[in-house]
Amino acid sequence: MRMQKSIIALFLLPAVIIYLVIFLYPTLRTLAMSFYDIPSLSSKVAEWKFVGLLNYEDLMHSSYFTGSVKNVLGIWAIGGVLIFAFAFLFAVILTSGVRGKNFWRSLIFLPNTVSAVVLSVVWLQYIFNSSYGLLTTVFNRLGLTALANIQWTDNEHIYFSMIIAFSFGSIGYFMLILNAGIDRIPTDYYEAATLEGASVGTKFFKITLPLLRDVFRTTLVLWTITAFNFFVWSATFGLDDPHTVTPAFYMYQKVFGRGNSVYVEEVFNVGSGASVGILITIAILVVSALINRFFPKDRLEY
Amino acid sequence: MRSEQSKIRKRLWPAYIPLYAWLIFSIILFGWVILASLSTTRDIFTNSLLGSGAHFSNYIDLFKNQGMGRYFLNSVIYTVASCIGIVVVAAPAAYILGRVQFKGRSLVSMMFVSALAIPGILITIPLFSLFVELKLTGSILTLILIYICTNVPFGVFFMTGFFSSIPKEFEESSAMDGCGPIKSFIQIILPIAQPGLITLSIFNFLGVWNEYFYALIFANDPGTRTLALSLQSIVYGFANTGNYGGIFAACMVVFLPSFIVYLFVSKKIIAGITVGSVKG
Repeated sequence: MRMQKSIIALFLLPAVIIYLVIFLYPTLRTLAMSFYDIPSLSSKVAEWKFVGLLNYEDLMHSSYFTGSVKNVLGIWAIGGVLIFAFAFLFAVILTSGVRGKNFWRSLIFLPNTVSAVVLSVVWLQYIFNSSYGLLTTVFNRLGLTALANIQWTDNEHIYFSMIIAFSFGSIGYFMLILNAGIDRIPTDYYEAATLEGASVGTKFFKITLPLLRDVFRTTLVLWTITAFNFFVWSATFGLDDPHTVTPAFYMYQKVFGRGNSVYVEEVFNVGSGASVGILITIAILVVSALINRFFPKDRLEY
Repeated sequence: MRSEQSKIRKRLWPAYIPLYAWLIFSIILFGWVILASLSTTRDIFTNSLLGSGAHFSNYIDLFKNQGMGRYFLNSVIYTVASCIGIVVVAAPAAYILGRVQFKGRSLVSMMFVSALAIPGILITIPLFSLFVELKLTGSILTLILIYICTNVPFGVFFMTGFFSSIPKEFEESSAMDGCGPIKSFIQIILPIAQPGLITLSIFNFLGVWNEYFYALIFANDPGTRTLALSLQSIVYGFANTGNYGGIFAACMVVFLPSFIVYLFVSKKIIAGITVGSVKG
């Protein structure tokens, strides 16, 4: 279809302006800021002091930052295994012909629609609570006092507790995508395999997994983006506990934290926060490229 | 044939174990939190929920003394204004990208797709400085603008496919009736695209209602705070004073609106996610 140029411009302009002002300009400005020493959020460009790669070097020497990188890699790996194990399990179950597929899908997706603050409070104050909590109560009933006495939110356990609670709220989304991928695989493959006497496991590993490679790659990239930007649960579940700090949360505390306890002795520098943002973005790009390399586009047509 | 099918169904029984485990876990969580929200702190700690009867005072206190009504209203304003704003900006752009041939179309499409991959953490520092310079911080408008702007790329991306699937005869016949392009877009195309706009707005409703990151940075004072953020500060205060019934009542106030919406539209949400995702 053709249309007058002025009408095209009129319809596109607001969205394009938003893209330029809200996405392109801040991205480039953050990149520039990461090479400068900037004393405050409202500093004029004239007050910026060029320091080259010094901000990045300082980050490498900051134990808070390297600790936060370790935390986020752990979340990516452990949370990833948890989420994909359950997402695969439920996706396979829901495509195997169980009754009430729509109900189960809605139920498993439900936690994804709940505010992270609500989920965090329910896990912290109910499930993990040490006096009346769900885990303590259940383990006491079963007579497993050693398990019942675990303090799930103390220094030692809060990191893993957070990963478990967060994963519970994320399974549904990945389950839906995998589920849709499996639904697209022609049923004749499974019928033929069943006639040949293939077991459930054989069908999963020989048919479902190979044909799901493209969908799996996409979800893995999505998960990497989510995990590397991990922020909300550090704030709502970790509540400033250094064991749950991720790079994104570290950046927030440094730049927006308004004098939060731990960071007072570090010199305030907005440029350093900007370089954290750049490093996260680079990490996402690199890992996504690696994932695409390990799972090249499928040549199989079906 | 029927007996064959029922045989297959019978062999499926182990598949129901994880499903029912999830169901039971959900019911325990949901049920316990509802009951706890109506109980006194004493009842909660002695494991006898509702032991002294149902107390709605937990809820009344939230609205009377914690100002939760104000935050509730804030969140309603943020959500409604953003949902409308996103559609107003994204729909015309998606309409052009989905239906009109012009030079540079693929470049503009690429722009919006690339914006989907830009993390919020990367753009917040300059945005914050920008809003400080424009003297826009501390007002409800700030966060509305942020929500509209940050959700436009997804809106454009989502609606482009929708518009391109509408047969072009609609505009041709309306042009013959003497309708200009703007009039035919508003009167003919938008009503046809309504299902897509509704699905998009449901996504935006849930996204904005539960949003945390931008709210924390751009609206964290008592006048502009969102419901989810207020929940966090209320819980923090209640945990210190030992009002545990109040904590769970506050959770229910934030949870229920999104849950009620989800009850009605879960099918649309699930269809929207599965259609958009598998293409990648």
